[in-house]
Amino acid sequence: MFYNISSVNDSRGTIFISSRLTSGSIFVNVNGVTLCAGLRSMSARVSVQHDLMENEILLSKDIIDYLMLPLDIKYQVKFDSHSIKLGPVIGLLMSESFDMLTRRRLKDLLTYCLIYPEVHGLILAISEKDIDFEKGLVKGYYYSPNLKEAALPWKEGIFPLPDSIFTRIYISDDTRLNLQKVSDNGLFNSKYFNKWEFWRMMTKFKAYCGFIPETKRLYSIDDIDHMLSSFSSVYIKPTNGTLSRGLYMIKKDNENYHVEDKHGDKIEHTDSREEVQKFIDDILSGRGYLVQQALEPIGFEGRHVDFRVIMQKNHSRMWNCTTIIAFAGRPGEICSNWGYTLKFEDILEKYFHFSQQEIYLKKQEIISACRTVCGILEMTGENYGDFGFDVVLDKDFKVWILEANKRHFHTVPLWNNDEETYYEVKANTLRYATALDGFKVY
Amino acid sequence: MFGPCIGILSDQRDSSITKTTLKEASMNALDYASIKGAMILFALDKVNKVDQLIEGYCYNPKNDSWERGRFPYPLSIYRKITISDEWQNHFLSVIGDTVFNNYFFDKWDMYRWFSKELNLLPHIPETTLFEEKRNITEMLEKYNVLYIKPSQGMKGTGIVKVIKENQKITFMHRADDKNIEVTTEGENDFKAIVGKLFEPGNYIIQQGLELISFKGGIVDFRCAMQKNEAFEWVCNGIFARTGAKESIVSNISDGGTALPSLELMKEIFNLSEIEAFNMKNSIISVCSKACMALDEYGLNLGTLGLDIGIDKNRNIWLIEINNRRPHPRIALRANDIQSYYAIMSGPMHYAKALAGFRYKEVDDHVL
Repeated sequence: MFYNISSVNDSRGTIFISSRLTSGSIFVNVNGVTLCAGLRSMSARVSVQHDLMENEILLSKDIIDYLMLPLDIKYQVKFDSHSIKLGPVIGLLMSESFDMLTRRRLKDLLTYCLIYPEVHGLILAISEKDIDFEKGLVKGYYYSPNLKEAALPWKEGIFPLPDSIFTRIYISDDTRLNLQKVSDNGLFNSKYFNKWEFWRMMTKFKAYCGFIPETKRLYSIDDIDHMLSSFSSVYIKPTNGTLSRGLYMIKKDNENYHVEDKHGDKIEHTDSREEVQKFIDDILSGRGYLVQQALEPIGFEGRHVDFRVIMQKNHSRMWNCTTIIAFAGRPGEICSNWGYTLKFEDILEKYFHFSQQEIYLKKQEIISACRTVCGILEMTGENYGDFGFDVVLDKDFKVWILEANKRHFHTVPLWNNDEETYYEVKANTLRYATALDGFKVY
Repeated sequence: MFGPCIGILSDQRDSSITKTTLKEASMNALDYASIKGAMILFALDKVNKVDQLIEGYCYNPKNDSWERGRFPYPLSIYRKITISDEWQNHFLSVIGDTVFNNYFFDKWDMYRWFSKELNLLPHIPETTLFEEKRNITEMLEKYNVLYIKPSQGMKGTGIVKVIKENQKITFMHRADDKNIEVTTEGENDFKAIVGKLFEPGNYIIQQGLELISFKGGIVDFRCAMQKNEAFEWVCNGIFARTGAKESIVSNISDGGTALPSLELMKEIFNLSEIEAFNMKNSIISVCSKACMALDEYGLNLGTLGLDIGIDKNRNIWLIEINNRRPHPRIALRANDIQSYYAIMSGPMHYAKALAGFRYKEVDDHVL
């Protein structure tokens, strides 16, 4: 249920609730409760009123002032015997400083609020520098859907620090650890890991991860030779890269090497061992690299196909697949970003003649592999709710997971003209944030 | 243990289990790879209460077949048929509250429950039970259009539309693909037709809604709401149905068609993508509220088909809930076969969780 909250001037430290609530299944200790909103809390007396509507709550003005709650919006209320929690209070930590929460940024953030009618409460756009850990407050904007006249339904103010926070920016380790601590791990998707760290986490659970290609850290040509003794070709890729930047393919014919860039063009002077060693020394001087078993992904018309699988938690706090999008590369290239996109179902039906049932089962297989990876990543204790996986199917349609991206492009469905799924991606993060805060999504 | 032992109670009698029954159950078992364990299909007359054993069929995923055998009681049961309270209590005492959908409610039950829910009230058409003709005249004082429906009826059969114009009252219903109209003018006329059409206690009288129409047929939306492994309700499909032209109901069995819901909303209301997304979510939201309310009454439900109407002012109305066998064939008619598979395998995910393989503990303290 969504509650209207009003302020009462002639009382102190009291919350007034309807007798209809206490006559039902709710037990409230009338002698005193802890009243919380986000990370602010105070003790209050409870007064049960007969003339209040079920969905009406009154708070003494001193409580409102302390909790810093705007009253032009509705809230959910969570009753325990000794505490009453108003919420959800959700933070969208999307900028470094308050000034950087520009009109444009705020406008972009509106897509997260499309499902506001299902959750209500305080949705905050906040920045890293404006968090006051000591007081448990934050300066920012709250979403106020009642602002009809104004161009942007965001209002500036100081609010309780949220206990459920979603971020898609880089924040300092200090802030991250602090937020994790005060919010009881309510900060999600904050911890960055690169490709190498990803592989190291996966390899601890090798028995469950037959879908992760063999990977090594690249130090010298010995690592490549070693991998080439098991696989006919290998990829080398930067540990931190995205979008196939700096990707090369290497294979070996007797003692002759062959190196191609991501466009499938041969790199000159990389035939002998010495030349390849020199080539590797050059690229390693700038950044860390990995060497990975090359896969032969499915393709059509000379195009490689790979998949972006968006896995998100929703209100059930369970990993679900929001969508799978296929990328078809340009003919002849060894990577598939970013030629054009297609629906997963369409590509398997049209080019690989899968039946609808086979498509469904393949999809379940992919989702199940991704869920396993999600579970492993969470074993570190980090809270995640939103991943974009890079997945390929090899010539035997075996599933391989190459990478898990935390700040994946939410806009990928739009490349396919699928606006609905784009909004769904945004909505799921808010659904998860609400559930994480202990509130319901209606 | 590597997986749950799940039961599918499909028939009263073992002799009625046909190839079709098993084929349909194979669709339920489609996502076996993520359920695992044993799935056992059985009929009520092969349940041995004394030894607590059942004779039925166990799913063999290797060749997608069902193998006859004797098995212990499953840990949870997806119930597709009505069973007596005695059976219900038997299973409750032996395997616990893990039988779903465990309660079949009718339209009148639904109204009595939901009219007490503040957040559902705006979405429930006013309804009274038909006991005497006075109930109809009283409703006609408030509304010019009424629908009178059998409280247990399904698929739009037996629905009568009542229209008051000046002093005339017209009763319209559908038989043999034709609309039959009877107009009454005097008290005696009215009494006679009411007496002929409606049996006291078995019909409900519902406020008439001006639902949107498409190409001359009334439109409503069927939402497949299912509980997942975390015991949360999710919508696994939403389909628009349009009734036959001029028909008073929007049921496909009466010659209508099924369409993808979002496309139809966009077309009817001339909506942008974002508005269509919002409308779809508002519909799902009403369904979620209704499902959560049913949970609070202590029913154990896992798969429901909710019928939603939208009126010309874009108000959302919960028209009825199908909880007997909410067949997802509508997904096939809407040409959404992937949703069909998801809906068919949905109950097994919930059954798995009920059998003790629940995804995660969730809080239930928000009211």
